[in-house]
Formats: sequence, C-alpha cells, structure tokens
Amino acid sequence: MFEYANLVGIDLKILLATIINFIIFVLIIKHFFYEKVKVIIAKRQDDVSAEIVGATEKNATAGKLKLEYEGLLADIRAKENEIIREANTEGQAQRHDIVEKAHGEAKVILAKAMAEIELEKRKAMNEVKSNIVDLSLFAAEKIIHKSMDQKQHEAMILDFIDKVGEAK
Amino acid sequence: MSLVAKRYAQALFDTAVDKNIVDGMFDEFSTVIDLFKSDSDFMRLLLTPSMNISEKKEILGRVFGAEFNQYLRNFLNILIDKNRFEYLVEIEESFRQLVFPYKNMVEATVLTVVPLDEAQRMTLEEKLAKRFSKKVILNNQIDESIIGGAVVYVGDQIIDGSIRNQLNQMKTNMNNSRLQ
Repeated sequence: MFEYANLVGIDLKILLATIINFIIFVLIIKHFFYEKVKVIIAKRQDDVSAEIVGATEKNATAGKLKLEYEGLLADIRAKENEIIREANTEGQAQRHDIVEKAHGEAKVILAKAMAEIELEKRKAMNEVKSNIVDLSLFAAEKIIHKSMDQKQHEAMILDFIDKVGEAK
Repeated sequence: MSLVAKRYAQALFDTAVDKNIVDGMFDEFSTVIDLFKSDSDFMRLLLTPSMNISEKKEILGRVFGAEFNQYLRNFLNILIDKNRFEYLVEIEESFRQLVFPYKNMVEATVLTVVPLDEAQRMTLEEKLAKRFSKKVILNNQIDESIIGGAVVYVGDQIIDGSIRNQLNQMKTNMNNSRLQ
C-alpha cells in the first residue's frame, strides 16, 4: 500500500525539476521560434488585412457597379417604356389609318356596286324598251303593209316626187 | 372592172365622140346589153367555143342589122374576132361611166313597192335633174321591204322617202328617249 502511495503523492523535487524544464523549454522556444512565429503571425495578419481591404474595395467596386448597372437598367426600362409607348401610339395611328382606308375602300366598292347595279338596271330597262319598240314597230309595219293599196302607194310616190325637188 | 373592158370601152367612146354619135351609141349599146341580159342563152351561144367566128359574126349581123350603127356592129365583131365577147357587159358598164360625165348625166335608181308609170318617171327625172343639175337616167326597181313611198340612189347620195325609213327614225327616237 505504501508503494502505491508514492504514485499519487507530490514529490517536490520532481515538481521543481518539471518547472525548471518547462521554463527551459519556454526559453528555448522563445529564443529559437518566438520571432519566427511572430513574423509568420504578423505576415498572416497583414495578409488578412490586405484581403479585408481588397474585399472591401471589391465590395465598394461591386456596389458602384451595381449602382451603375441599376442606373443603366433604369435607363433601359425608361427607353423600353418609351419604345412601347411610341409603338402603341404608332400602332394606334396605323390602326386608325387602316380603318380609315378600309372605310374608304368600302365606300368606293359600294359606290361601284351601286353604279354597276344602276347600269345593269338601265341596260335591262333599255333592252325591254328596245324589245317593246321592236315589237310595236314590227306590228305597225305589218298593219301598214296590209292596209296599203295601190292608190295609197301611188299617193305616197307622188308626195315623194313633189318633195324631191324642194330641198337640196 | 377589168383593164380589158376599160380599154375596149375607151376605144368605143373615143370613136363615138369622134363621130359625134355618143347619144346614139349609148342608146344602141344599152339596147344590145338589155337583149343579152334578158336572153342569157344568146350570150352563151356566142361564147360557145365549138361555133366558129364567122358563124358568130353572121348571127350578130342578123340580130343587130342596119338599124344599129356601123361602128357598134364593127365593135361587136371585133370582140368576136379577139375572143373578148365575154367582157361585153363589163365594157358596156365602163362605157356608161365614160358617157355619163361627158354628157353631164347621172344614173339614178328609184326603189318603189309599185312600179312608176311613165309620167311619174319623167316627173321624177326632171325633179332630180333640177336638183343635181344633171340629166338623170332613172332605173326603177321594185322593193317591197321599203313598205311604201320611194328611195332614190344617185351616186353616193340617198333620198329616202320610204315608210321603212320613217319607222327606222321612229325606232331611233323611241330608243333614244330616256326612261323615267
């Protein structure tokens, strides 16, 4: 039991030796590595700072570009709206023109159709009139032909002979 | 009209003028042509190739005897000799065209439904002569299509006093009148 008691008890010599070892270790470390580590850390800090500055600059540039692009986008949208508005106006004007033209053409077609109808009507009426005239004169011719006797023929011939000398 | 007919007509006309027998020649030539036109067999006979020239001339001499002037009879014989008798009608037509202006005459045709009597014909000839200042030789043709009255053709002029013309004018007027 005593053997085991030495294992868990504090030995001052060992403690002192350990502390001295530690101090020696720290001094060795400080002497050989402290500056180098410090330089590495400083360098790392500089790098990080540089990175942060670069990131900030880029961020600023990005913000500037964003603003620029937003401006451009706004311009484009304004132009787009302008174009749409102009297109609408032009479309309305064209629509108006097309409708006007269509109305005009419709009027012309209607007038032409009316004129053709009138012409056809007149033609048909003239044809009927011509037929009536032909028939009437045919009937008159037949009646005259039948009713004319020798005396009437001679009378007409004498009348003709009388008139022949009158006019030149 | 053929050139042959014109040449023969001109020769006959020149002879008639030279001998101062244009009127007689015109009347006699018209009589000859009337005869040939009224009897086509006579013309065919004189154109028959199987009959010799002397026979044809003998027939002509018998038909157209001393009452026809010597120059016309000689002319007909020449046509037989020269084998140009087939041109006789054409020659007479050409001869008329030479005689008419020479004698200040014009040929007129009058269409009627009934034939003109001699008095009517003479009166009409006189009136036309006065109107055209030329002697008018009137030829009356019957044409029932004129219905009544008369139509006179003088050269390129027409005097239309027919019922047909009146009906045609009436037809034109009626067709030209506007429909309401």
